[in-house]
Amino acid sequence: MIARTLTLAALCAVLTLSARPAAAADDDQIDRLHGLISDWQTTEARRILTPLLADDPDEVDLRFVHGRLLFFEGRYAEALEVLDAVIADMGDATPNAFRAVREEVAATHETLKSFDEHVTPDGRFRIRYTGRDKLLVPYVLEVLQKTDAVLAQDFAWRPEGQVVVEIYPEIRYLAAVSPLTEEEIETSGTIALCKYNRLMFTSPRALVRGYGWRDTVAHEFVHYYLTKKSVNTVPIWLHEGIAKFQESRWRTEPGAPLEPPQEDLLARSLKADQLITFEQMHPSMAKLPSQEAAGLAFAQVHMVIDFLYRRAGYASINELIEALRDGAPMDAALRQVYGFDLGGLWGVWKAAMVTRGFRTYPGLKQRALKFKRPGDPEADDEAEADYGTIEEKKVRDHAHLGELLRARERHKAALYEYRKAMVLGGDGNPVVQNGAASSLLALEQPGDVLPLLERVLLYYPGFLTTHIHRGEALMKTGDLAAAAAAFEEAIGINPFHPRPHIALLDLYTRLGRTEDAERARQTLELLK
Amino acid sequence: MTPRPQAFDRIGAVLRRVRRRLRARIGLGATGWLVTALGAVLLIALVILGLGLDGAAARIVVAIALAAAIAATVVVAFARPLARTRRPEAVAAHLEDGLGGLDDAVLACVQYAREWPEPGRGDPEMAAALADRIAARLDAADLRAVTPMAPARTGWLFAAGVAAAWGLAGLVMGDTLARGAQALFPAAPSGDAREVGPLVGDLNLTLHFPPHTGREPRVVPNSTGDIEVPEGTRVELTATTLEPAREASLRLGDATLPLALRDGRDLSGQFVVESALSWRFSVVDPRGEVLVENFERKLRIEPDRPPTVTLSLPAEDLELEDLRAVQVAYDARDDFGLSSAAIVIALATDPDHPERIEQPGVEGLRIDGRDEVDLSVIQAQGGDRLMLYVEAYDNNGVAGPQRGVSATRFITVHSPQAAHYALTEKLRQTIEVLLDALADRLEVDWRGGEPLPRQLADVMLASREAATALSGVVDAMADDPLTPDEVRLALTGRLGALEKAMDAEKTAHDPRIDALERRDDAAIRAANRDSEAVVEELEQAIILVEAMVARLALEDMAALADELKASQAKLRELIEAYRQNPDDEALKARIMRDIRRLRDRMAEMQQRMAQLRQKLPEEFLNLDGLQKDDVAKGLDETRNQLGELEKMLEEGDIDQALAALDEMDKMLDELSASLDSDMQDLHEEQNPELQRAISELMDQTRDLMKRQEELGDETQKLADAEDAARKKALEEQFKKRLDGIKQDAAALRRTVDDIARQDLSMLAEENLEHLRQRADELNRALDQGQLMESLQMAERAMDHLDGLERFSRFDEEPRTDELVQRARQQDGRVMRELAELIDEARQQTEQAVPPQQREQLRQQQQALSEATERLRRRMAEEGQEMPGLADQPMQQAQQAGESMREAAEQLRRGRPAQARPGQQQAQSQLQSLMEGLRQAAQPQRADRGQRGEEQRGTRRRERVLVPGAEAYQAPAEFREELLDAMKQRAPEEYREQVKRYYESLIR
Repeated sequence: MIARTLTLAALCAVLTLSARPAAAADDDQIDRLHGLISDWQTTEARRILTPLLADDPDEVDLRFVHGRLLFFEGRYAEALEVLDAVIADMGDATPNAFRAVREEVAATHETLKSFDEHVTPDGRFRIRYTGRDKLLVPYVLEVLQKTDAVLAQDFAWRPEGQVVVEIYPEIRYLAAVSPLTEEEIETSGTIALCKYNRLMFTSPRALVRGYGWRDTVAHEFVHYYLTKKSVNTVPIWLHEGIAKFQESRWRTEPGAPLEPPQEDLLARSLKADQLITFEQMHPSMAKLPSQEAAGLAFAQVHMVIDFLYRRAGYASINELIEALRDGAPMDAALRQVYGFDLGGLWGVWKAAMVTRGFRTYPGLKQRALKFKRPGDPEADDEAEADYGTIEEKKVRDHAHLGELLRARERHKAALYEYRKAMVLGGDGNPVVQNGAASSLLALEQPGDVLPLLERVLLYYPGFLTTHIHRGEALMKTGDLAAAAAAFEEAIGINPFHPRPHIALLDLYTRLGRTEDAERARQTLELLK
Repeated sequence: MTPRPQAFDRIGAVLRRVRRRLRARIGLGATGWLVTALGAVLLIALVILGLGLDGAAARIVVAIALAAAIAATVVVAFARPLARTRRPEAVAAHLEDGLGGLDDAVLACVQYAREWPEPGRGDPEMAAALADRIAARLDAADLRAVTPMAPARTGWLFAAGVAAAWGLAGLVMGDTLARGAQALFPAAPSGDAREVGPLVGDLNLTLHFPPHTGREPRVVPNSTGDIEVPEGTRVELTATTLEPAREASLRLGDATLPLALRDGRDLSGQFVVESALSWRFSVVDPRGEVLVENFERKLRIEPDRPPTVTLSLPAEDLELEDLRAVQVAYDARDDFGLSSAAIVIALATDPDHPERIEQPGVEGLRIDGRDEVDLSVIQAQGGDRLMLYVEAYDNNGVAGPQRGVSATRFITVHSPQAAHYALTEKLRQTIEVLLDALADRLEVDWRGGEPLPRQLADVMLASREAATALSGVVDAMADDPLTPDEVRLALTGRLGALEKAMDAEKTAHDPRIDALERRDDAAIRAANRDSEAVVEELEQAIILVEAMVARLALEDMAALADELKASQAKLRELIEAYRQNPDDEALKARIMRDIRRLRDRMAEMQQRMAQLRQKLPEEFLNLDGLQKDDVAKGLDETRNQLGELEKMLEEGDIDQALAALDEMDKMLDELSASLDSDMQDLHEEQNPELQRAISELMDQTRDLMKRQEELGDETQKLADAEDAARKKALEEQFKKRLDGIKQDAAALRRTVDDIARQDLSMLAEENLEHLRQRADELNRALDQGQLMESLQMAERAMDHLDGLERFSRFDEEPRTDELVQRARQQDGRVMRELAELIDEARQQTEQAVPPQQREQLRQQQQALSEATERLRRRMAEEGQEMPGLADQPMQQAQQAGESMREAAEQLRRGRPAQARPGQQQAQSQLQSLMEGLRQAAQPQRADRGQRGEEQRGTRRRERVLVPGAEAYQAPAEFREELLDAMKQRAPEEYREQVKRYYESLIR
């Protein structure tokens, strides 16, 4: 996700001009500085601003620019101090835009002032977190560093300076430091943002079922790269497309296929010719009316970039970004690089997509992100079981009976009920399949678990319990490496669940991966 | 002279050290003995003095005893032992005893040392050598061991014993010791008065007791001054001084009360006893010296005990089935007298706001009271726990009435809710039993394990027990007014299906036991099939029971919310009333009690909600209202608000209290809405068949309504056409005849005026007045072309003429009777003409509409009537499964069908205008049916008595539209008019004709 701040910058510039006395610093320089900050070119802005401030430290416009720059550098307390001083000096003559910026900075400072932070030894990343999110830090760093390396290679460019990353324990923090409301966040499923020159994401502990937070962090990092490289000139669909396409690069080669839920969504929408246009994606995916609409939009733009990548690789994508950076309109840039304009792209892409033969997945239900209510536990297996994915009452009843029997440790009987549910409702329901898997594990039949979970693993790769059950089964059958991989997947969804860490401590030890074992042990300590 | 060797000095130093130690031991031991002696003597003295041996002599004896004890101790334990240590030889001997083996060597050295430089009895060198050796020995000796301190311990051990005796005596006879101490160390007289023996004689006291004691004054002659009287007693005294005196006074504790002195000898005075104290006489003798008695006279307070109250009825805590009156019997006693008694009753949780029922005629030393307490005095409700006791006050007019309280009895008023909750809990527990039965069946090992007949017998038994458990609950539900019928019926149906499957299994099982024993494939397959049938029923039973538990819990909470709302509204009324009468303490107490009760109910609701959250299967927790914590938070806030409310009322802030109540009302509304919505969701989830069936019925009803409306429009057009034709006929064809009738009517009016000129009796006058009105109305109706009204007025006029005829018979004026007869003829003509005219006009208008058109409408109406009947029959069939359909919707369908048949009949008779009321009624009844179906689609609530009625009023927001009189003004008025008209009598010759006409109109 990304939001452009040009409007605000322009407004600031206008107000700056109107507020400044005749003998003040160079207008163009002030304008340029605001523009650079708005386009996240903070290193360049700092380089220009420092001597100017040294020459005229009392100049209010420069001080205001300084306040903004500090905010974009993630130095909220200092920014607030500078802005307060500016407003105090200007008194009633303070433009409203100055006050608005000050309020935004103050809100961010107030929200995050109690956060702890971790700075990597090389100074590249500054990670802010609070409470138990500390345990995320090593995992987040791993993703960030891997992403940084591959993106520098793919974009043939690497942004200078420190990257500020903030982890929020609840969605209300995201709402407090961004223009989005909590309702918009819940509706659209927005859990992370790349805005104000920093990465912000919600901890998986804020969601009932967790989420694939590692790709999300990588996704936002791509935005960061892209905004900086393009000097904030890339439109939203392209931004999101590239971010989506690149989000898995830290762990795979480019061109990873869509996950079944996205593929299913795209296939059905293509068939019904009910796609979301590039215009509808503006100004933000988070403003789309539902999580499903947002999911479809992401699937579309992902495949647009996939299409462009397959056509001419990263070089052309970089060429397109650079053309936009240099001021070319989108149509012209596209024509220059690919030989068609936006309309042409839409047409050829749609045609290409039809030939790609995307699959629909019978029985697959789109699952929306479910945010926790205050007081909900951090790791709750039961909360993940959502009967909403079962439409048939009869199936739901059998699944429920299975759950009741399983809770009473009548596993054999429970298995019968789950099987009845499967007979009626198929083998693609995560609740039923995982319930049956749990009973099979209790009945010491781990060998039956893996085939049982095949389909739900495909349909619902973000379903935590599936990975845990797979891990348990693989452990019991002696496939330690695969078991470790399964539990790592689970951590990638909800690292606050203790079971994966407990299992991994054992597995890593047995596999001789002492460093990883130590990390698992430390995480468990934090989870206590 | 040979100098004395230093060894002698060393020995001397050692001896001095030993002496010092010996003396310290003696001092220590003597101190212990001294403490022992003093403690013991003092203790004995205090006990003796405290027990009554008082006075100066006793004090002297004690002083002597103490002195003797000290002297004896000092001499025996200190002086004599100390004297023994004075001589060095004695110390040397002690040292030799302690060290042993010295054979008087130290003693010799002491002597040598004293006699040096001329030792008398030995060689100085040997003496010096001896001294060296002994000195060396003594240097090496442990002098502490030689003179241990242990012997000093004995005195202290005795002292400890005496201290223990003191402690024990303090515990056992503390007062005695205190008195002894007071006697031993009397307070020093104030000022510079000299203490002497008795100063007065012939002391006479007159005691005037306080009125509440009811005692007569008492004279105590030659008193010692030691008396015990009730507090508030006035003491009058007279006495004679032993010696002449200038002044006299009383020393009452620290106060001084002057006394009257007559003739220098006779004293008198008085004082009121307010507390226990000592008193003494004091005089100023003729020389001016102040004398005071050196002993005290004791003035003690005779205790006034509070009343004792014994509650004999209720004899124990009660549990009442309803709010019946409670019999109370008690006995109250007091030593001086009772002043009042009351039965007190309060909410057990709110004892601070009780109601008191004053008992009449309470006086005397004892009463046996009996009363019947109506629990409504405290607005008791089912579920309340009340406390009841009796309190009585004595008549103490000095310190104020003292209160005595009986034992408290607790009265629990039976609450149907509590029984219902227990039943719901029992129902929930059956889930466990059913689950066990299900699991047992699913885990049967058909191909191995124990012999199959045994396994199957076990699972069949488990299933039977589960069914019995469920059956017990369902049976109990029949007596539980708070379980909705649809819940009970649903469970009954499911239970029946389960029992049927089990019976079938049992029947089939017995003959195949042998085959199963042999594990015969066919038998196993058959047994498995039968078991599967039971499994299916068990599964469905579990699902249903779970849903019903959730449903009942939701309904209970909704009912509780409604109850809270009603209580809140009542509270508001009371607070408003309190605002008008802020001095009404009883009202305030009631308000406080209600607030407390409301808080208790709120707590109950929170508890139920917490239970529900725990017990509901997680899928039901998708219910929005329950999921949201704001419901629970809202309840918390409301409870806090109630706490605040109490404070506000205490502080008299009524407006704020009312505002807080408004807030609470809003929250309760939200809560109710949320629970309603959850219940509806659950209902729809659990009754898809019902929802589908009702949806279809609603579609059919909607279709019928549409068709009836269209048919009504067509019929109205037809009626309008006929009306137009009738008007036209009246204006064109019957004008001449109508004019003739008008003339007759005018003639009748004139005749009435003629009658009025006659001299009539009072009763006849009254009839005449009515006749005149009817005649006027007849003429007016004829002018307006209203034939029916005209006919009716003519008829009524005839009745009044009948009356006039009866009364005029007795008149002396023959002319009156003649006029009445004329009027009768005129009115009869009008009636006849009008009836004929109406009949002809009807025939004329019927011809205005083609008969086939009427027939077509009739057929359509008939078809609609039959369709409605089919709908009703279907509802009757479905109603067996769905209780919501059975009552109102069925009736509405039946009535709609009847109205349609009536309309069809009117159409068959060619009277579209008369068909319209039936059609309109049918239309309205179909609409009501629609509403009824909507209601049936909602969960049916239990009948919760009067409270329940109120709840339904607030819960069923979609009102059922019952057609009122205003909805059908035209037909209602029409019918009324006709019926009124029929009550009137027509002239004999036309009566039959008119009757037929009326019948044709209303048929």
